Amino acid sequence: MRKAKTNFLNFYNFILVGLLSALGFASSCSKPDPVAEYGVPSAKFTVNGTIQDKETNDPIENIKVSINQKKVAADAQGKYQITEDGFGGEMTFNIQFSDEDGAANGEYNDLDTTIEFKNPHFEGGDGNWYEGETSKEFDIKLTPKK
Amino acid sequence: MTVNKLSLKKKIALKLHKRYKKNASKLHQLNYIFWECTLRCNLNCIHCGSDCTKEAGVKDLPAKDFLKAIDEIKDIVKPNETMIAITGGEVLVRNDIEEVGLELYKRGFPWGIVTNGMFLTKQRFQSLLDSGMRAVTVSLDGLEESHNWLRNNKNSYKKAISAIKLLPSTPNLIYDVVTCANHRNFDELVQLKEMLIEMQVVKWRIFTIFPIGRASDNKDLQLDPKEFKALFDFIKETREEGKINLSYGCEGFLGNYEGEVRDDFFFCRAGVNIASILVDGSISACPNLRENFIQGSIYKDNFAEVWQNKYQQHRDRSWTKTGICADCSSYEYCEGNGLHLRDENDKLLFCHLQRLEEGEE
Repeated sequence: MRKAKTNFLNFYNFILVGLLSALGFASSCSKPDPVAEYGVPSAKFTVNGTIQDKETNDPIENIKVSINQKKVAADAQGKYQITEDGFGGEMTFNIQFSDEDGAANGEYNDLDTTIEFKNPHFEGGDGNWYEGETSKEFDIKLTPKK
Repeated sequence: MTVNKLSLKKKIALKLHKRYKKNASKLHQLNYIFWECTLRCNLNCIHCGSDCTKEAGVKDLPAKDFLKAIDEIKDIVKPNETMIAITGGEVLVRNDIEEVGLELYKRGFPWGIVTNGMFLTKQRFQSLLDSGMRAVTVSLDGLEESHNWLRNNKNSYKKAISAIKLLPSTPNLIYDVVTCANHRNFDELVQLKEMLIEMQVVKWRIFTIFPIGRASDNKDLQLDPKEFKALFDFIKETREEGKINLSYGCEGFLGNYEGEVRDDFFFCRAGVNIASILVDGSISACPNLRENFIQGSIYKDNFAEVWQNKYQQHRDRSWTKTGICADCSSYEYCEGNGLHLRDENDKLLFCHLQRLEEGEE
């Protein structure tokens, strides 16, 4: 119940920010909150890659990829793309690859690792505290369960 | 620009923003934490004490106690979206900032410092960067004479300038310069702007000193109403020029200047998104709020529980609709100004809108 309320309020504010943008006050509710007394720089970090079988190099479908609360699934070609918000500078994220569909598409050991954005180049910043977006390729090979 | 003649578009935007603020208060997502790590200082500024009581001899808050409090909130924040601003006193009188900063970095928190620049040498700066520092705010309060007067030290200007020069060339560092506008430096603001642009500074913020405490007795510390209004015209024009990102500090509803002199509409986020750990371990919102806004202590309470269950007076501001706010037509947008402008009896000490209106007369 509490989570539903939180989600509703976040969605509500998302709509309000959109309306404010349409009125020409784009940054009046800067996301992520807040631009407080000394500002919070932010940016979007995207990770792209392909997930393959370590032994056969075949792509693996439907491996779940997660960073913090974000989660996506790899497509039939083993490709995935996941985006997370972060601080507008160098960032390191924990990234998890997990096989959650059992025997379908083969069975693989999960992998917990980190991805580092060192000296990231951001594009599309607003000139204020939002630095823009950056992306990185991160290909992974998973070991089949024996 | 007239103060009270708001366009229909701006009125609609402010109404929407009012709803946004209400939702944000209900969500009260903590994402900005001040750590008042010391009250010691290497300067004796003449305006210091105008907005707070700083007793000499107060011990610094031990690093381990602060980090323990930070560890208590790990389940209610996203560390990489939660900024930790280390403030003082003067932060750099402590020798363990790097040690604490590295611990914050390991926990995933971006962190920064607010400094007068006196101790920000090239070596110290590099040492801070090596510890994961990502944001710096340096104070510069005018050209040499004015700055040294306010800072009460003949070397302070040169030190501040040296510190500022370190910033623009550092990749991935978020920084800005802050200036307390006052009667003495008011006529220098254009020159100061040109100097900062030449130094390749990209962000600049101006605060005003509100007339309480020592500041109420020193006319040089305050802007008169006409200067006060002219300051906002200066900020607006500078933003339109686009050579430096100048904004006014986070306080005060500014009538028609809303949306023109800051990136955001006025929103006092104290206790809504912002908490602070004070030098004695008290848990508050912004560090410059009075003692009556303290919500707990890291030595007695769990920081996360305090954040989740207290701060009612910060999240429901209806109690501020008294005094001059009671029949103010802008109250719905302002909600009683910043909480740091409320005294021990909750009385409002300064109204930006009123001062702007006086400047227009």
